[in-house]
Formats: sequence, structure tokens, C-alpha cells
Amino acid sequence: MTTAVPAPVTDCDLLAANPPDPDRIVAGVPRAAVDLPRAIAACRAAVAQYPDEGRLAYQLGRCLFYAGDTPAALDSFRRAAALGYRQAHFILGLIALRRYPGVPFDPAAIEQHWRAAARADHLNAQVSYAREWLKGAFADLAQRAPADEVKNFLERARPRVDYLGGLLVDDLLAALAAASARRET
Amino acid sequence: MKHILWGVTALALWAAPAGAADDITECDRLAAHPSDPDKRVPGVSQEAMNKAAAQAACEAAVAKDPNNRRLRYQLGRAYFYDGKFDKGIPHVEFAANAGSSQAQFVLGYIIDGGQGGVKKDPCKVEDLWVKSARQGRFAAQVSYPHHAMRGLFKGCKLQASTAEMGAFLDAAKKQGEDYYQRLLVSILQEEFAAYQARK
Repeated sequence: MTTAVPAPVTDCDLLAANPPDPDRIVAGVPRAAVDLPRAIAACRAAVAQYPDEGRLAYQLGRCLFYAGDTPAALDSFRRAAALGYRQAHFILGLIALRRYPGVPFDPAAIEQHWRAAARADHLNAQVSYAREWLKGAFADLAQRAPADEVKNFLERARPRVDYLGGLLVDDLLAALAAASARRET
Repeated sequence: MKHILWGVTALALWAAPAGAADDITECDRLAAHPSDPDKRVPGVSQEAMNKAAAQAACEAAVAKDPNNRRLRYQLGRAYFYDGKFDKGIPHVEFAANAGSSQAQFVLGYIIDGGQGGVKKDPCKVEDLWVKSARQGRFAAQVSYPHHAMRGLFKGCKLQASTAEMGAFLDAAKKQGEDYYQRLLVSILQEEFAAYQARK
């Protein structure tokens, strides 16, 4: 979270919180159910009122992204990330990975944002960072996490996933062990 | 419990099918699994379940409708979450034999992990999961090819062909509910392409 005391529940939360966001403060609204004009207006007002609250900046970015205004969405996500909002870091990495129109594939951005989110215990970022690390996406980056840190991400993720998540994390841990063994021989 | 009892397939002939016009019970409200295709209400998570109340409600519901596979599974679920495997397994086993895809997956999961002292038996897991996957249960559609590709059903007759396993993953891809489920399926599909090439 970005402030010692999070901003109270606003209309922006009620209209635009994302259900998988670990730091949302209400149940959230799935994408298909977001009323974009109302949510964007509510989130703009909330961000103006609470400019240091990363949660609200992230939720504004979410709505702008769904509305197709990618540059404004990225600005809002970056603002949230700068305020330390881990879901914004995760989304910025995901956007850099998925080659959305106007957004170049950028391994350095993926690495930077997912590592920041993973260090903040964002589950999807911990798993995703390990996945891309093992695929070699960060191999050319001097600042990439060492294998021990990637292992630590997965070990912290493991107790928080269900059976299927366990299959995924265990497979990644096994692949990481195999990669480490190959490097040592 | 060291062994699972088998051979009650005949129960399936007179067990209540999914979607039977039976009433919603307190057992449903307290113990339905959110991912069970047979569920009649949204369901409750493991963390949210009042286990003692669920066990009592489901015992009462099963006493009234003993051949209802949905209620039998839910009673088993309420016992499992309370660590009462010996009490829970016969009910999940009944539901699995009666065709519940949820119970088939869960029973396979229990046997696969040897939970509650149950004897591990990969061939029983294979049989349960292929049945569950063929009925469209996401977890089985993912777990079956996952285990098959890793040789965890070694020595068992693989009932699903390579093509059918590919179809399981294709179907699972359309069902994945959250980010990591979709990530898991996409990783397995990449592995499957290599597995298929080796076949």
C-alpha cells in the first residue's frame, strides 16, 4: 500500500476495483460489468482528492485501459507504481509482455515491474517473474534477479496457492533446480 | 484409512443425477463447492465453511436423500476439511461412482497425494481423472495431461489418447478463471507440443 492510512472507500473503489487486486478494499467489479464513463469520472475525482493513494491511480488506469486510452492508462499505472502499488507494477509488466498496440515488448520493463511486485509478495508477479526468468526473457539483463531470489519468490508463493497453483509452482521450482544443476555442471 | 473401497459402480444406476429436481438444502448452503458443476447455490470456500454445522446439515440431508450424489459429495467435503478422512471418503467415493465430476477429481486428488493415510494408486487416479475430464471438469482437464506428460501414470493404461489430452487442454484454456490458471494451461500446452512431437 502507498500510504500509512489508505484512502477510504470511494465511488472509484465501488465502480472500478479489480477482483484479483490483492490490495483492493471492496470486492471489485469484473471487467464486463465496469460502467466505464461513471467509473472514469469517479476515479478522476478520487485521484484528485487523494493524490498519494496508489490504489485509486491504479483503478483509474484500469478504466482508461479498458476504454482504449492506453497512453493515459499507462500514465496512471506508472503513477500508482511510483506510489508503491504492487498491482500497478504487475500490470505494467504484463502490458510490456503482451505487445499491446503502441506498447513495445520490453524485457527490462517486465523485469523491473514484476520484480518490484514480487518483492512486495504479489503472488501472480512471483510466479510470472519465475516463468519468464526460466524462459530466458531476462537473460540479457545484468540487473536480473539471481536464482536464489527467484526461488525465494516461488517458496513464498507456494503456501498461498491451491492445488492447481501448486502444480504450477512446483513445476517452476523443479525447472529452477534443473537449471541451477545445469549451470553447476 | 489405508485402502479405498471400490466396486460400488452399481450405485450409479440409482443415484440422483446432476440437476435432479431435488430441493436446495441447508447442506447446499453450508457445504457446496464453488467449482462443483452439480452445485445448486454459489458455494462456500474452505475457509468460510462452518464445518460442524455443515456436517450436521449434510448428515441430515443425506439421511433423507441417501442416493443424491451432490449431497453425498458435500458431506464428504465437510468431513475432509475437518480432517475426518475416514468419515468423508465413503461419501466422496459414492458420489464419484455416481458420476459426479467434482467427486471424481477430488477422490483422485486425495489418492494422488495419499492424503489422510489413503494408499497412493496412480492407476485409480488416472481412471478417476479421465472420467472427470471427459465431463468437462477443469481441474481434471489440467491435472490429467500434467501427470501423464510427467510419467506419473506409468504402468497404467492411459485411457485418454494424445489427441484427447490435447483436447482437454484446449477445453481448459477456455475455462481458466484466473491469471495463474491460464498461465498453467499455457505452460502445459507448450509442453504438450513437445510431448506430442515425441509420440
